[in-house]
Amino acid sequence: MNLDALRHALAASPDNVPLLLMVAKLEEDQFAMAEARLLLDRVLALEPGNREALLAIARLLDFSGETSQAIVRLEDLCSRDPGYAAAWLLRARLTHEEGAPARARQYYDKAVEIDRSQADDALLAEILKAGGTKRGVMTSGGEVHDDADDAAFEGLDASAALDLGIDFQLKSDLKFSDVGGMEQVKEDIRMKIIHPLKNPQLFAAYGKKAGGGVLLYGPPGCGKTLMAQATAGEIEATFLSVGLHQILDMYIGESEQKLHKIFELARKSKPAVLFFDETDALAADRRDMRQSAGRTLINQFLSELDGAQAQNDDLLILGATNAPWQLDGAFLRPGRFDRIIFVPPPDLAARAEIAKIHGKGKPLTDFDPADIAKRTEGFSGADIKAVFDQATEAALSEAMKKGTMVPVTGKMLVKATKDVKPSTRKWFESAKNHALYANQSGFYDDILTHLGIKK
Amino acid sequence: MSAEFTRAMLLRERGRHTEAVATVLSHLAHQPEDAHAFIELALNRMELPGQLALALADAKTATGLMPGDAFPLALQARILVQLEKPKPALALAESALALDPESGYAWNTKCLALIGESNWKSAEACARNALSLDADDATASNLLAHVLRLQNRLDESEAEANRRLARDPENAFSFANAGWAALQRGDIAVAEGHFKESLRIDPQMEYARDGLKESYRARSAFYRMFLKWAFFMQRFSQSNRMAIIIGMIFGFKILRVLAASIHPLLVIPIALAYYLFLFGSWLSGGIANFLMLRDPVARLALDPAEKVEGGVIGVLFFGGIMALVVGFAVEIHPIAVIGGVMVLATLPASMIFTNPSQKGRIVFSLIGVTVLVLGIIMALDVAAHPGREIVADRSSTYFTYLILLVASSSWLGMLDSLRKQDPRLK
Repeated sequence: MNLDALRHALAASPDNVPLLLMVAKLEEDQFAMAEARLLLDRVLALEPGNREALLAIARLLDFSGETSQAIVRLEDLCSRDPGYAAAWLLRARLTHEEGAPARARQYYDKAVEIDRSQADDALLAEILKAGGTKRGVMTSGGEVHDDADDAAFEGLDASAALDLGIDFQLKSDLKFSDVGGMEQVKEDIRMKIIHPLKNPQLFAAYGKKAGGGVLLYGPPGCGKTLMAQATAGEIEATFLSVGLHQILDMYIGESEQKLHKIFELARKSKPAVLFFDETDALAADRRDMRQSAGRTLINQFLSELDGAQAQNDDLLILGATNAPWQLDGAFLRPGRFDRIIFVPPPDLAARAEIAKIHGKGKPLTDFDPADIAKRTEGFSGADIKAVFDQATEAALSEAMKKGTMVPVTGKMLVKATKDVKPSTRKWFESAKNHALYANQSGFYDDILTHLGIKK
Repeated sequence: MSAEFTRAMLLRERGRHTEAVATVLSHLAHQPEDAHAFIELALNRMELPGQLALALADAKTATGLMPGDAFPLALQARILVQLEKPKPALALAESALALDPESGYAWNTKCLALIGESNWKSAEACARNALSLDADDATASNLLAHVLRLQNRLDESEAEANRRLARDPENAFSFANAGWAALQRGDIAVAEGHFKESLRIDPQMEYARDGLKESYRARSAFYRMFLKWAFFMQRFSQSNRMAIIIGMIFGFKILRVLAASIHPLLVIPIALAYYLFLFGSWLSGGIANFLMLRDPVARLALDPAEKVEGGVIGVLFFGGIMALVVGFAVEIHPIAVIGGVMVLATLPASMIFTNPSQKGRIVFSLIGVTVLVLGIIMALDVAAHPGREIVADRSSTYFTYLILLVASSSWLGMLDSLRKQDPRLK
């Protein structure tokens, strides 16, 4: 990126915080520490608590050899904003440099617990080499406990989850109110999941148990994972999430045991939501399985869902998939994923909400989220993000040409809505075939209704 | 085998080809000379739209890294078949078989290449060879049923499909084969049942979906006639087909002369049959789609483009004939002219909406619009000169252009580049 052009843009728009941060980072990359510091101070003058600026200042202090001061600032930042993974990671790095590997390991684990993408194998290897072998354990309160006695402390579940490589949250902070629109889906979830879990006695009177399995399906990028998290938030349950790569690793390693441990952990954390993203990868049709190892894992999953070896009361198993047709039929039988919820592309209200989120922190003029929502019928959340990315790129390239700050205009966004094609269309083409030709049990009726084929 | 490579194979098994490609590439970054990884890469890219050329390059690299192995060669041949290059595919499949004459995959690939060359007899021999190596080879069995049907040996084809279904009652391809055999035999209802069963098992199978659409279209007698003709022609090689068409054109001309010498009115049915033969194959699809639109269940099988085509061709063809008849009946000639032009415009219009070639869509759209505009100008000219012959003065020039344009669209329609999608983009 052309630093000079950005400096010009900054001269035209000196109070633009995202731009200030961007230029500061580029100055830092050029080792122009003083200039970078000036810019970061300006950010703090405009937004005193800006965490990115505080983190960058800590980094600059470390570069200048003032590591202790950097650590003090990071301590402050971590206590003020305990959910900021990047701060924990830098703190881990600096603490390790200061020769305290055990504490460095705790901070590192905290960073990865908050955000798995922060995992830095090289840093972890260095910490381990230096003696930071004990895993730190965090609770959702953000406190750091020492791992001296594994068996006793309260954060054991988080530690076990980390060992199993799955995401773990004692309580999901997300609620339905945090997800814009999608009222029909929320209502479906309330009726099929939340009410049964909140009124177990009522259900018991009818001989039914709360919990069990629910499958969310729909086109990719339309909020299935978000809905699962919000569901966990609504029922105030522990949220354990297993992603595609953890699932695939099960096929490679000691799979059945690992899957059993995950279920055991969820049962121990009841009430809990155990979420399997990309469920089709784990619940694949056994006819397509060439390796017998895969079949055993699938059988194990079925047996865990049945609660054959233990009770699954108060344990909600949520699955999300964009290829429900790849699921083995056995998973859809009663007692397993017997409730099915279709998550369609975001509706008008949800799209407006998504547009607002993507508009945050960008220099926008004539921005009307409702208008963008109207123009993005059938777009997934990811498609709407692509609209903003494309419009931002257009503004940036114009800014480069003019050498001044060019805001992202409503017009640029409208143009981008025309250029970006909704990715859900392809999914619906496949889904329509399944709904038309393989819908003997009415599994895909919601798709037919959504497409207007069935009233 | 690295964990990444194993993960990539798992991803392919689950149909997640894009993620599988990324994972293999990551594996290759550490082991850049792993031939099996290149094979894995090719197998995934074959399933991704527009990546056949890359898949071919990967298979070539794999061949270079393990030159004594038959599989990468056969894989190259398989990709070339998909790229509609049967000749080089056949040569590579034969090289693969020279290295490993017991490779079922290579025999099946050779069979596919021979099908691409319309060499049904040799293709049949290849499928039988693959089956002699492994009687349970589902691909070989399905290819054999397919190639037998192409030779109009319908009983044998159905027997092979049934043999396969007895071994594996959930084989979508075998049901589709049985469906096509029934359709070729004229058992429309049976064919429909087989195609529906095939699609229940695999709703994404294009071969079965096309079959179901054809069986819906075959409900109309007009389309059944066209299907019979298409099934008759498919038995022959490309050059023999051309010879038959040329022979029929000359045959019609001789018949017309003979008919005229007996009685001038006898020319009319001969001429009608001739034009039906000439233009029927262009219009049959669109007209059948129009008829399908009236069936609430069958129309669901149509793609959006086919629905538009059905609507446009139906309006142009049937609306045109109505206007033509009414125009002459009430002697309002401009209406008859419009009707005639609408019927003529069906020819370029039949090559617009479902044409996979973008270039072709543009060319035929331009011709179609020009035909309609010229028709309107001619109708206005006829309206401005009441009592004059329809095809006279300026109208005669317009009429000549119209006929030339329509005839040119039928010639241009024979160019692959204007009618087929570039196989590399598939």
